[in-house]
Amino acid sequence: MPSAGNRPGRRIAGAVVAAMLLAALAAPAEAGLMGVPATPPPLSSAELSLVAANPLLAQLQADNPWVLRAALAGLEAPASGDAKGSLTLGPDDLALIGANPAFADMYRASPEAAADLLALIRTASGKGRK
Amino acid sequence: MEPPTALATLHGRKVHAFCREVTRQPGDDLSKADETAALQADLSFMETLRAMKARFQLLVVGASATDDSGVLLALRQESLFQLAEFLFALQSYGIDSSGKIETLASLHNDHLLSIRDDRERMRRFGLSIDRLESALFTGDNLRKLVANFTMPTAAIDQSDLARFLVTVMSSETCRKLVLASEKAGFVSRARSPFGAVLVHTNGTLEEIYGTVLREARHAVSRK
Repeated sequence: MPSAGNRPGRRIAGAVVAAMLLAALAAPAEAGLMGVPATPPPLSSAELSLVAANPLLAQLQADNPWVLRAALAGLEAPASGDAKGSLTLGPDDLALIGANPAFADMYRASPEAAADLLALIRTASGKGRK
Repeated sequence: MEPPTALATLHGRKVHAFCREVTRQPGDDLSKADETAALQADLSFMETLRAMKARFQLLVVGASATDDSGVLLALRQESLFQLAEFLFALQSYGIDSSGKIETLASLHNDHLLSIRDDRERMRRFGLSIDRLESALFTGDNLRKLVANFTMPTAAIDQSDLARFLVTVMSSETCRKLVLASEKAGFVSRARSPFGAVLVHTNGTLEEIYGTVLREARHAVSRK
């Protein structure tokens, strides 16, 4: 798992995977911990913008606000200012995606496959190509 | 479509030379002025292609029956363009009979099996053997595909739609697009007594796709 603090930039996949793992492992537990408040501190306006623009983060906010905190930390969400900065995938993210087929599937795109599909439909129709 | 292995194995200046060679037409001996004009036309074509996709998104969002931000976000995905392209092609190529949909399913099966037997192609498409084999039309699901498609209100099971689109998007992406399209009023979904989710398109996506395609073609021919 890539560390969030050893290089600049935002780690989208790392943050999301970390958040999902945390959600799976820790979700039922932390509400019952002594001394841990049920909800984390409020989000900054920049963090709220980021949550509003990303459905997965919004889901985490509803399901487990503590895990959302971890995800935002992984994303290195800006504390203030414009939250619309580009989210880029770094080498660690790409390695993580490569090692997790489910994530790779989300990014799957093939113009070659799209062209093949059209050719199949044309062939099935019995119409020739001009 | 032939795999682009020739291009993929070339680098740097070799790619440059390769591109010059494949874009050269018989009898081409362009002067500098002609080359400049051809480049201008290429750039104009590039802009038209981009404008076509932007216009598609604009019209889709404009036609949506809801302004729910989650739905609009899904409608703006590139994969919706591919879904619309598939539906438009089915409609425009006249895939409207049991015979034609069965032929398409058979070609689809052959295509997936050929990908399965070509590991390099399978890797390039980002697919696994399990994924490919689960997208084959066999026995009962082929019969159900044909039966659903030839009902008075032609429909396609959501899972069959995902089968056809397996090479271009994940089944989860397909499901989310269909859900968003339903909320936008572009398709209806009905649960069949056999547990299938039957998707029926009202033609909006096909019409929008056809409109932007024709606009783009006219824009190119005017230049």
